Amino acid sequence: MNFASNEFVVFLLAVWGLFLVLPARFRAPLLLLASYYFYATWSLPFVGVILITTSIDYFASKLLFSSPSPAKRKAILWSALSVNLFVLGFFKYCNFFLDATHSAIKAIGWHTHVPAHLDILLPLGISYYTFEAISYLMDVYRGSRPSKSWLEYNFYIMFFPHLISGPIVRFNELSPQYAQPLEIPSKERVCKGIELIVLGYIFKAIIANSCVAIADPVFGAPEKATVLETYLGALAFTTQIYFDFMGYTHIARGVSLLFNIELPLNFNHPFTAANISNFWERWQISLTRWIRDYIFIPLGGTRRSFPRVLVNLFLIMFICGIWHGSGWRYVIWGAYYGLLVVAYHSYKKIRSRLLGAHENAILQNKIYSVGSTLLTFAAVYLACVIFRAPAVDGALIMFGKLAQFGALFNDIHVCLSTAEYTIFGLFTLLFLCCFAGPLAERIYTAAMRRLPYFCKVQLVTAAATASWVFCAPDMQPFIYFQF
Amino acid sequence: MGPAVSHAMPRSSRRSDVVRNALITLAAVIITLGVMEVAARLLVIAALPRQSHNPEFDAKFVIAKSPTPADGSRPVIFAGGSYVRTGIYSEFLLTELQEHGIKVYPKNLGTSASSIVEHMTLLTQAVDSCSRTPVVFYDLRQESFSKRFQDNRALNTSGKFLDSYMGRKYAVANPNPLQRLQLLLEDNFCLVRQRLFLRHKLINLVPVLCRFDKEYENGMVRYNNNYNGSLILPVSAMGTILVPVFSTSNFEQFFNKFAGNEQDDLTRWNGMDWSDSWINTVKTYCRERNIPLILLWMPEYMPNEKESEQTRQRSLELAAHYASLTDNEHVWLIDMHDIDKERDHFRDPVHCNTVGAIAATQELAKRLMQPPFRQIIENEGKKQ
Repeated sequence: MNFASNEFVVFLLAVWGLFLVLPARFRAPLLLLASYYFYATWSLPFVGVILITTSIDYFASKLLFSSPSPAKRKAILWSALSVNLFVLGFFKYCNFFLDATHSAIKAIGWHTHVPAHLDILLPLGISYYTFEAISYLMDVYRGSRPSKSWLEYNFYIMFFPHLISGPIVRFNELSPQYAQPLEIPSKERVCKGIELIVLGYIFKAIIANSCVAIADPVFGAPEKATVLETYLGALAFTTQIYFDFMGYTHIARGVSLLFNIELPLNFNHPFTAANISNFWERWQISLTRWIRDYIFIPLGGTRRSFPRVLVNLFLIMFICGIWHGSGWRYVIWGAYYGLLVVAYHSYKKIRSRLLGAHENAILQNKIYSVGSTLLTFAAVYLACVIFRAPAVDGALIMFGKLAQFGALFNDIHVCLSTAEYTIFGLFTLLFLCCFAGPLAERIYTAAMRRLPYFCKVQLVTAAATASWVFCAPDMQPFIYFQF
Repeated sequence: MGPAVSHAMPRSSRRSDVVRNALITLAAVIITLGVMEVAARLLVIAALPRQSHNPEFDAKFVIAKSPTPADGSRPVIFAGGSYVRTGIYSEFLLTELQEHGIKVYPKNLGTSASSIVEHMTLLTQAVDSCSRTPVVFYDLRQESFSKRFQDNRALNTSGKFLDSYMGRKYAVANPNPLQRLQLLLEDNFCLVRQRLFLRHKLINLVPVLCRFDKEYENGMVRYNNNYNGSLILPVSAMGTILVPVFSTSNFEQFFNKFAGNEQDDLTRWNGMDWSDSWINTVKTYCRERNIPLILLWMPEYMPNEKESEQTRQRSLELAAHYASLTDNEHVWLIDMHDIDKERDHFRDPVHCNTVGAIAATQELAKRLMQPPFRQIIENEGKKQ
């Protein structure tokens, strides 16, 4: 069930209606049942996969908590982690490894009976719920209390707003909110929830969906696009992925609030980041936090030697890349971000040494700040080309086009001389979408504070209707559903 | 993140607040949707071509008031699928025939992606509401004679099918409250019915603002097309419903989409497993009520480069089969499939656009003025 479908709206209204009328003690079980139904509408057999893994994790956590022997606890932890990682690896990476093995064997001229591909369907949201399960096991291993009941743990994994594409929540963040019987949310929470849902639909249906029409033709046939169109297509996809994912997160957070459960923020104007590290602190915050807490810190964090820290930073970005998907472009994408982060931290260290006490003054300089923001955006923009290109070849063609500055100026000249300003209008709009976030948020907050309730409702109705119009039948599903 | 309890609604203020807010919300929602509906209607009306391809059409149909059927007009019902829906202008036909002294009251019940069940539902409703025995025109569709197509249609009552556009149409015969609601909204609100068109307009706002020539405006087709009992009312009584049909600008794309897909390409011909049960249902229905049935083979676009031995064979085979369905007593055939070779008269290989529909309706009017059709229509048509 896609968030951007009529079925989901009907489902949500039905579940919320029941949530409001049922006694408090039945509300959490209702949400759990609804979550299973939500997942089963996509695939009933994979509900079984979740049931098995959650049961293993739950009982492993109980054993972990009760076991006094450190060696035994470690063994239990690794066993449970292995099960989760095996399931994730099998469904997500099996075909990638098979294909790579097959190609390698063929390349050296041997004959093989190894199949190049198996018909494996990727369970929806597996990357997310596996990471949540791992965080739970690690937290219990580190001393947190495990879940009181199997149902409580299941609720944490299955709660439908965050099941498919996050945000990746920790058990200790979510469970206190439903440990007591769930109350009806306050009016403020309901309003905030509806506001987030409508904003989410605007981001997804109006902005991201409109970008598809620009990005898809360019990425579909990069060799046919002009240089200017290639620039526009890549910018459109950069905007699309941001608003697509942020739209999903807004809807997820808004829906949760309707059930009196708060999910953490996942995006904080990432395109205004002044460096690549800062970008990852603002982009998919819950994933970055997970990687920091469960990979980077166990690897030694910043306490190790500087070269070792750089290796660890590269490693976590590389893992982040392959977490996104199986394919060489994700490997390259992860490695690219790894190199960027390593380069940034090296530069930062050199900058501190060179500038000493003047560093802060330079950092606060407006020109430096704007320049570094644009440079960071350019790096992210190129990463988006790797991410979206259907194959590595396609990405290389696009990079080739993006490097043709002479042809770019020629294209601009042609457009100007023929009074064809559409492309410039689109560039302006897309840049505004990417960078005007903080300003738009300030204006929006101030305006909403002054507006009477009646006008607010009108605004929400108009926005929701406009989003619905944009959700017309051929709309693409959320990009992060595939991960 | 604090405990959930602190965000719960205070019990004391619940009832009065909820009622007050619910009323305000309801009023605001109704007003906003009303304003948006008006805006949508204006947007759709504004999309009428500023300059029609055919001044005659403008004079008779776009600018002029909808014609009113003369007293004692013979009801003429067009039933079937999208070929009739997009290819026949009932109001235009009325004007054309009335000028030549033939008093008819045409009603176009063609419905896109529809099934025989729906055709029969509509036809029955239409026939029952007529005071005189009508003349029925029925749309012949090649694919509908395929047994595989009919079987698939019958089997496709799965949830997925019912969620589809075709499924929603089919749901008329298998009512489900949600689907009925959707159809009701589609029938009465431009905002719902014209959703795709409105999205198209909104997405193209940037090119509109950035370009000065504005040449890409789309043409419009208007027709009366409904699914429930009210469809029998004349168009003027229901209010004009304007439905945009995009011009031939994306024609090549559409054609290319069909190229290489033999299963869906109606211009290719590999023979098929005939099944006449579909058309026999209509024939039997009309024969039992002594209703004259005229089968219509609507215009198809066949560019010269696509004409081949295979397509000629297909035409011959179809013509022979269609002719075998007639008896020239109760059932006749009007073959218009090759009257139009103009690419600009089609929006895809099998559906007429605005201009094509005018041409097809004019051609049909011409044929209806000739015997035996003139006599059939002018027959008294006492209801049995």
